[in-house]
Amino acid sequence: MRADVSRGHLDLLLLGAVAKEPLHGYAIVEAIRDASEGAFELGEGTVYPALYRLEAGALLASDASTVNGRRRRTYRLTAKGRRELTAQKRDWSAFVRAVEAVTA
Amino acid sequence: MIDELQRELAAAGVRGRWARRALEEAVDHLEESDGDFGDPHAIAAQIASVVGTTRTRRAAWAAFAALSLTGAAYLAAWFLVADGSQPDITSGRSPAVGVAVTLALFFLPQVTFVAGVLMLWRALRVPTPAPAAELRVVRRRAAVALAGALATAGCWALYVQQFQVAHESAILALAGLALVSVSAAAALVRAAGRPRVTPEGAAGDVFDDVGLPALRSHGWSLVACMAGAIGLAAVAVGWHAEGTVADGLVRGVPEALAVLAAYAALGRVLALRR
Repeated sequence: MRADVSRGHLDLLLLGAVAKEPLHGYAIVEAIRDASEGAFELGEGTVYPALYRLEAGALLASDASTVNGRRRRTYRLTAKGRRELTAQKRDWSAFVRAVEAVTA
Repeated sequence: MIDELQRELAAAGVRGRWARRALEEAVDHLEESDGDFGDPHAIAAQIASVVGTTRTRRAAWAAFAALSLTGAAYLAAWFLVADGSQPDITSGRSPAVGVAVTLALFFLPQVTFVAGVLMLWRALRVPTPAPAAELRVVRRRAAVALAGALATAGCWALYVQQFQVAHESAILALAGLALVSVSAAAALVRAAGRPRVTPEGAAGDVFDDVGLPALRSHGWSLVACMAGAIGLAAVAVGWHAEGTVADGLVRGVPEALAVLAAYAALGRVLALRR
């Protein structure tokens, strides 16, 4: 899939990835890649500025821990983030339906 | 890779807690993945834009808190002055300094209030990351508001020196409290400008802030109306307090002129006009 398509919906993908369980940065990249069966290949490091932005907007929260001697930050959805995810999913479904109606 | 990211973060003005966090996450990511992370320059630039926006917004809140504290101290100081016999404006040790300081204590807080409200308004409105030009407007408004508050605190010290007023020590303590809080907020505003924010975009003005860009071409007319309304209100207050229209005019006319002068002098700095 073209990179600009996934970039345009990056927030939805990131919020959706951590909706089921808290994940660290690389696990989020993997979760999106696996769930989309490789369709969404996010630029590895570029996911972090987006995570910081979502955290600044209180859509995500993070906790630091130590794993195998390394500092790891795990991201989870906040209540505001869950509401935003629901709204974005609704918008996306409406968009898909509208495009399908036009292009059918 | 990590060294390069560290250098790029430093070059982009991201240091301290945010830089440590980004590097820790990069180390963890590289250990988990097959070693691919991306372009350190691009990643550092994106992080700097998010950090710069977040810091500017937090600095605006801190500045607003300091301004609120200064406002409370200002009102408390006037109550303390009113508790004794309120000095005549021309009775200072040096009449010229006494008059100037008293007028400054009336006009400076008004500039501070307007700049402070506009600062917070813009800070709450901008997206993350925000265009660099928009963040500069937030910081400029903060700088004007904090400078006004700092000058007001200094004027209180001068006022106490010029006039025989009750509760001198308490007024000086309030001015000192304002000075400390405003200085701390100013340091945060200054630090918020360090990360190099890259998104481009127009700075916008107050008409963008209020969502009425169609009024932009009537800027001076609107300010003239506002100055007239504020001047009339001051006339009414002066008339009511002193009993004559002349006393009201003595307050109202300079107030209206001050509004026009402030718009002329600070209009572009505060992004009230382009």
